[in-house]
Amino acid sequence: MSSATDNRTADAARLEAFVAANIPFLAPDESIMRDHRMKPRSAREARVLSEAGQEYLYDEIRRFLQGALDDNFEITENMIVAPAARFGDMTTAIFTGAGDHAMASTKGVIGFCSCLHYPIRFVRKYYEHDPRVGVGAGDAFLFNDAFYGGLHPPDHSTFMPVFHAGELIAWVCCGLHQGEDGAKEPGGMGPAMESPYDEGLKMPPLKFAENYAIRTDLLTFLQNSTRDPRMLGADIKTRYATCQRLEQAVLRAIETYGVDAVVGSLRQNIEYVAAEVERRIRALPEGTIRGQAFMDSTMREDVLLRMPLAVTVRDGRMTFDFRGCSPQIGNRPVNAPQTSMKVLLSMCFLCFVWPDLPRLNAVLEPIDFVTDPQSLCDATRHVPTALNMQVLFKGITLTHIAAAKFYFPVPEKFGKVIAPWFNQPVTFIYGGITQNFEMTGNLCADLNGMPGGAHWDDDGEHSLTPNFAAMTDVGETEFTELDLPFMQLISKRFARDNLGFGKYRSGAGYQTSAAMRGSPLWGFSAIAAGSKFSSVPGLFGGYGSPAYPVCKIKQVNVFEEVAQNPALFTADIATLMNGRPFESAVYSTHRGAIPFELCTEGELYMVSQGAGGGYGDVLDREPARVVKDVEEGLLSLEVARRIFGVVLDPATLAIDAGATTVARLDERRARLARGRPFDEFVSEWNRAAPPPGIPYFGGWGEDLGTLYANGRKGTPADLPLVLMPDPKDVAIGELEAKVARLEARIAGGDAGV
Amino acid sequence: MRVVITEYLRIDLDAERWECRNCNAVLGPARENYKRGLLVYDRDPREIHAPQLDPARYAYTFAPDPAWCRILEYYCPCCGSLVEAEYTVPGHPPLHDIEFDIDSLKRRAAEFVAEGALAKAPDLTVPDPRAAFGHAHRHDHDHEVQP
Repeated sequence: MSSATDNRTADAARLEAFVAANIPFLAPDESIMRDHRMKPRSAREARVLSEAGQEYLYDEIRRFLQGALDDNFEITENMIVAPAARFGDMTTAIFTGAGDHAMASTKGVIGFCSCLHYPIRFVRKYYEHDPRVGVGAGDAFLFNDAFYGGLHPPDHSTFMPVFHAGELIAWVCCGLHQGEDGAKEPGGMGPAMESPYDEGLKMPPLKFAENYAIRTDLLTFLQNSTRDPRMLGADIKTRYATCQRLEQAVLRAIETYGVDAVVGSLRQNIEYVAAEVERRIRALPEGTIRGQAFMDSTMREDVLLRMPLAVTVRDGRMTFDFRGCSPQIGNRPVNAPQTSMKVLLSMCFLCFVWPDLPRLNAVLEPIDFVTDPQSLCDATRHVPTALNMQVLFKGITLTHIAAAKFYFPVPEKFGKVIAPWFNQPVTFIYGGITQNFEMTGNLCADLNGMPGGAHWDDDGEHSLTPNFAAMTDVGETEFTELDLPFMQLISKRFARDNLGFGKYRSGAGYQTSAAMRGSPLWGFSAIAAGSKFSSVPGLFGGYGSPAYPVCKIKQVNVFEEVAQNPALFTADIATLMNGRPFESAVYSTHRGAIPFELCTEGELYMVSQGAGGGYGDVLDREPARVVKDVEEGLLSLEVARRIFGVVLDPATLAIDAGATTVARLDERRARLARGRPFDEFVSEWNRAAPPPGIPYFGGWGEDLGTLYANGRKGTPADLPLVLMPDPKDVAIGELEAKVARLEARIAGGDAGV
Repeated sequence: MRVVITEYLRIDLDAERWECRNCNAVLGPARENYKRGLLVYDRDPREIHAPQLDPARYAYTFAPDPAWCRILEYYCPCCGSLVEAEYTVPGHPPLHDIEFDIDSLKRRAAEFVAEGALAKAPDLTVPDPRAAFGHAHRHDHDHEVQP
């Protein structure tokens, strides 16, 4: 070989090394982000797991580590400041050295950690061998960017490596809903976020601690970027302390059982879940279950965003096909990265369908995902995501329905067949200066008070837990009022007829309110949808949820009014809004999402948790259950008679059995009279395209390859990025047009103006 | 063998047809959408989810907007059971929601819950509406339904 050739080879090597060490920007790595599956066994894992007869030892090790995870969940829950995390919106977890999710706390929201294989793999690929970053004992990374693997920006996670004898053996993690992160609107979530750069802190994996010490400069920078530096600082330290205790637990396990046994126990747990899920999928009937959800809000305007889902089971595998979903909305925060959607679906499986399994991301191992790029459920990183729960929670609803339909014919079930859970994040987001003179911003844990869908053999549970977690809490009103400058004058109150009706009814969701008191600067926002289109359907003939607005009573100080005349106040939204007891006040209703707005003392904001889905035909409901609901104030006599066909004595609630039988048979006859044969019905009903006048997004009917987007039509690849006009510009335009019309009429001599 | 599919539907795998579990009515071919064998009614959602606030005063009332949301109610043409309630957009083609592979079901029939063998399936004791329609006897035969 000539020296010239040698020089060229050396130059090429230097160039390659230079480029590798000087990537202009370490953007999210698609090869990492598109792979939700576990890595192949490492050489150590392969060797260790080839040894038979270790199952009891592995189980003992996992019990030891499970205790550490659950102990540290409790400790952290009691130390953390972020309000949602104080009521269970957090998780602790252990990952393998390669970054596969191996164990998690039994309580809390598994998704905060089950997504962390993405950033851990990123760290291992890009930072571990970079001498300017590196990974060593006592280091820890902070992370919140959805496009590097998180759910959405307000969720912050900390992970740190566990080294033994110089070898990276595992990772330990603590993730939770932090909330306030310096976003455009307080609390990290808000309808008015129009770009990723409105969403506050955007942290790819960030090494904020080194060798068991937090870097003061980075901590100060992070704190300085948010409205509540005290909370952020405390919670960063709390999570880091949690990770250090978990690190000690893993090291104690290694000391007790040996490193091979610990590595084997972690890997075996993952492989067990993957194999067991495949076995369970093989037990399902083969075929396709289709569902669809219609989201009725971008959070700023009323629209219909279609989200279809076809779940196919074939040969022990399951495919989730979301094609035909609405395109992403470039300036609204309802977009979800595909990784977020996968994590939410794993939460649904682990909470409701296979709740007996170890809570691991490996539940998705035999599942494939198909999405349209640049859709609401496969968004690009240049669109905002803070309120992507709208998409993710609909994904959970569709998974609930698919699971119910696949599992109904199967004898071996692992959870009950249920109608969908309620699926809207109904709560108050708040921000301002507290009675303790500190700036803050966050959310009330009422979000966790979603009611359950009806079971196939019983009624659903009232405001129990969110659809994304099985064990969380809604928080105590008194604690909220102690910390924050508002009072919840309506708190956890059930309204009549807020149920998913059916043979078995859903649980009921509660109303709540907030009125600021004692703050020089305070405001609220809300982040729900489902105000025009029922957010939750029923199952097998059961009805879905009603629709839910935000209600306001403004330009009044309710505290002063009630001090003068306590009888004016009734803790019920409908009574207040229909009765209008405060003469000078302005009463209004709004879609479930309202951008952050400042309020004055005593102005009342009211929201209502919705209902889950009902199950089965209302006429099959036992009359005694109907009476019980009436007695408990959940159901009106009118609905008992009109919907359920149960005839009651209004005074005693005694059932008139004969009249009830007649009423129900009459209704069956009425159904036969008004129902039309399917083919005849659809010949008139089916439209070729969305109705004019409705801003519609997504595929229409069975044509999922053609998407509509507010008047445009094209393939997913053709459509330009959807950008919605500013609602205020729309309103101004309408007013200007009105003024122009009126001016034209005046100019034309219209004396009637 | 008759395999249960939903609260109100089953498939007779031998005859390859959908049947009503409440009244045994034959609804149609198992390889087609079961909805084709049912009656359909376009329900104004306000009739189920009545406004809680005065519609004359408020834009949002706790009732779905009937211009945006309809409920397609599917009834058994024989006994009138409400088999499915589909929340949809006006004019949106009904969803073909359940499409099981009939050949696979037949091959694996013994793995699924057969009608009448519901040890681990839900309690399906329901009031018997058949008396009102002259079907008070137990069925061991099938009826072709004339809606």
